[in-house]
Amino acid sequence: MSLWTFGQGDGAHALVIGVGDYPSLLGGTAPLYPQHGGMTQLTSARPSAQAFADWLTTQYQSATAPLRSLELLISDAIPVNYTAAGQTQTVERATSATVRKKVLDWFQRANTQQNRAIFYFCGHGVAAGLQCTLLFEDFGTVQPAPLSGALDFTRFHLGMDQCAAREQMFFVDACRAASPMLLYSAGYYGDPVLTPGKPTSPSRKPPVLYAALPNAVAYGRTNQSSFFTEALLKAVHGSGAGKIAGRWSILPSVLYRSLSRLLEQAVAGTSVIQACTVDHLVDFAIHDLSGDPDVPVSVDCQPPINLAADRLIATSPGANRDQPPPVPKPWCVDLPVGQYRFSASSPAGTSVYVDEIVFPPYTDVVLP
Amino acid sequence: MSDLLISINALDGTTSQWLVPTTVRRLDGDIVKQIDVTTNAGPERVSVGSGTYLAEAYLPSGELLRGSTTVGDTGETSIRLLLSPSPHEWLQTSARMTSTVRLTSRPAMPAAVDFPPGARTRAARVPHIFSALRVWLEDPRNVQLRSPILPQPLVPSYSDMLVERFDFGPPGAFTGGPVGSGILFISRHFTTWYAVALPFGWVTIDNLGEAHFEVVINRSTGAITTVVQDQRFGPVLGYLADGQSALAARVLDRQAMELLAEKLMNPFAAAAGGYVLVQRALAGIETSPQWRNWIRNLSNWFPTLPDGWILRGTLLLNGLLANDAADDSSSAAHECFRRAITLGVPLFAGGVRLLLTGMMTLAEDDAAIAWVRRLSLHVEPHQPFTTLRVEEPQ
Repeated sequence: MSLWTFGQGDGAHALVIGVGDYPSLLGGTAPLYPQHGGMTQLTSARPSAQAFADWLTTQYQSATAPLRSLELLISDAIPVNYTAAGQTQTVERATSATVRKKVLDWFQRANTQQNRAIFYFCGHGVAAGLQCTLLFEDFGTVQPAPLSGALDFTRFHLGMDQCAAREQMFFVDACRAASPMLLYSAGYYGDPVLTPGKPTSPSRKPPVLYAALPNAVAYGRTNQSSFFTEALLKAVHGSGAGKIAGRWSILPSVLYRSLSRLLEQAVAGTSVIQACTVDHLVDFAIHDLSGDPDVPVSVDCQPPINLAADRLIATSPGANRDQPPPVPKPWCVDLPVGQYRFSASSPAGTSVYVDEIVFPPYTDVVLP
Repeated sequence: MSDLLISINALDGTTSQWLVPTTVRRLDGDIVKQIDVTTNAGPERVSVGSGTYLAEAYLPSGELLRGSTTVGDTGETSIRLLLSPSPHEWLQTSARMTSTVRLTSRPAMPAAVDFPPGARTRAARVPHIFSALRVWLEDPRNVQLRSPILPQPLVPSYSDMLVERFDFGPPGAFTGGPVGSGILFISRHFTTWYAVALPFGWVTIDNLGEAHFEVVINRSTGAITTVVQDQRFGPVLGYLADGQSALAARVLDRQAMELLAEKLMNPFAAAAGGYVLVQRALAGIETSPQWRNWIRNLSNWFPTLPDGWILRGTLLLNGLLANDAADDSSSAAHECFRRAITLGVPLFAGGVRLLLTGMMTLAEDDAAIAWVRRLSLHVEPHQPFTTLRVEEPQ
């Protein structure tokens, strides 16, 4: 078992999958799948899935859909224990057989209209055009049928319309690089687990946030959460928020914009090029914030400001931040929503300033 | 009450006009009003009480424009949002109407290969662009393209990328052919071939002229992007391609749709609007169901346009349109999808997505599903016009 439950009643049911151990891919322990396409073991999948699960179990809050269950599946080089709500369990591995069963269980748990279904996957993915396929631990172990260890995500997402939960959120932290394997697989793109059926009513809200553009690659980091998941977890802290019904909540449209910027910043300075995208975008309150959101602010200084000697200050009635020299370029700081004065003061006492409003999903300031 | 004047202007001197959805908020985040602002035109006026206000516009390119001001008890106060010059200024403001910038923001690479003359970029009139795309998909090398139309590419002198920009438009290419005719624009990047269909006869509802099409090829990445120079529908398509149907719906006002639907001016733009409205309806968000009958008219009056049948089939499948015939709505939807498939490849990438969803849902015709799934492998999902990508067989 790797299922945690949290109270009774309608709410959110999450299925979180991290696949880093692929025995039949490069560096694996089983016979190598010949058409591995350069795919190797991933050390980022476990920390990414755990970090997302941590957020769900410790920070996620929703007045309409509080967390009711979390199913966590992780394939890593070593067995994984996970603790939530004071209960430690050994996490089951994400083989295709296990995932198939757990998807059906998750479907049933979420299968009432007032529920919410949350799906998160971190691992290898292959794609072509609109088609997206996610790879489980046993991908390639049956060499004549490699895709028996894969999820046809496109069809699975469509099949989730049969689940009565009308609010569904999907996070796919995986590559979408074009794969010859899919192009020549004669119409089979993995097991969808769920069978699409006649569209149900009322309409569902099923946005999908992808870590990569079509035909592009998503990147992990050695033994750390991936760039996408890191940016995602920062965005849900506040910068992905919009105000609806008088309350700050994380909304898919703002989350996407915030995530795009944060991902850009996360990969800055590395050789990585990665941009996220969204499908089936429609807004609903994913996560309610306790107060005003923190917003990532980027302050870029132009001459005559001397980064080596000047001091930057952001002031508002509610918050003050100070950056002594040397000032990084840009100065990146998280600030609560509000009206700020950004100023640069030189040792000689001269000062320049600009007034800006700090607001989600991000704020850029140029001084002077 | 005071007047808040909101405008969007380009700093680089370009005068392209686009309709951009803009939100006016109070500082506490509450929305005061949602308006559409035309770039490089006069300001939009909003009546507000005294206080501090924020105006923000999110462009299809991913850029966020934002400005703020404090308004007194009376008088006028302005917020001027600026499209500042960017490293992609060679694209002018049209770049802001697509996700081009994000899709091509990659380091420069060496030129791919020296293409043989005439094969580097080829375009041709074909009798029917929808079926031509299907033929091309089978083997891009074997398509016989006739009467090449080759406007000289504008190669930017300032860029970290190898980029070409083509402008297609009247006079010349778009002299008012029948619905279904147009240009098949083809490009190659290493062993990857791209094709995009450009329809004849895209009439803008704002000036009743035929629109230009701009095709941008990034030779460094292979990305190919198409923008129609239509101030109202350029942004609609840009937002649609970026998955932002809510913003697309804001630009697509009711008056525009009525003009399209009732005056039959531009079936392509009507289909583009149809995709916006269908997506909103599928999400359970629509202001009026009246437009659903317009979709029926679109497929009846322009039966050679696959997109009309796809939209109609989607409405039927989802129980959003009454069925004319005695058979059930699923059968009627299947017939619509089948007719679309017979016609060829949809003009818009959104049509491929809906066709795929529809056929997978119905699951009645293995050969048709196989064809649509194959098509879905080759479509670039985040381009407005159907752009197909084919790897050259090894």
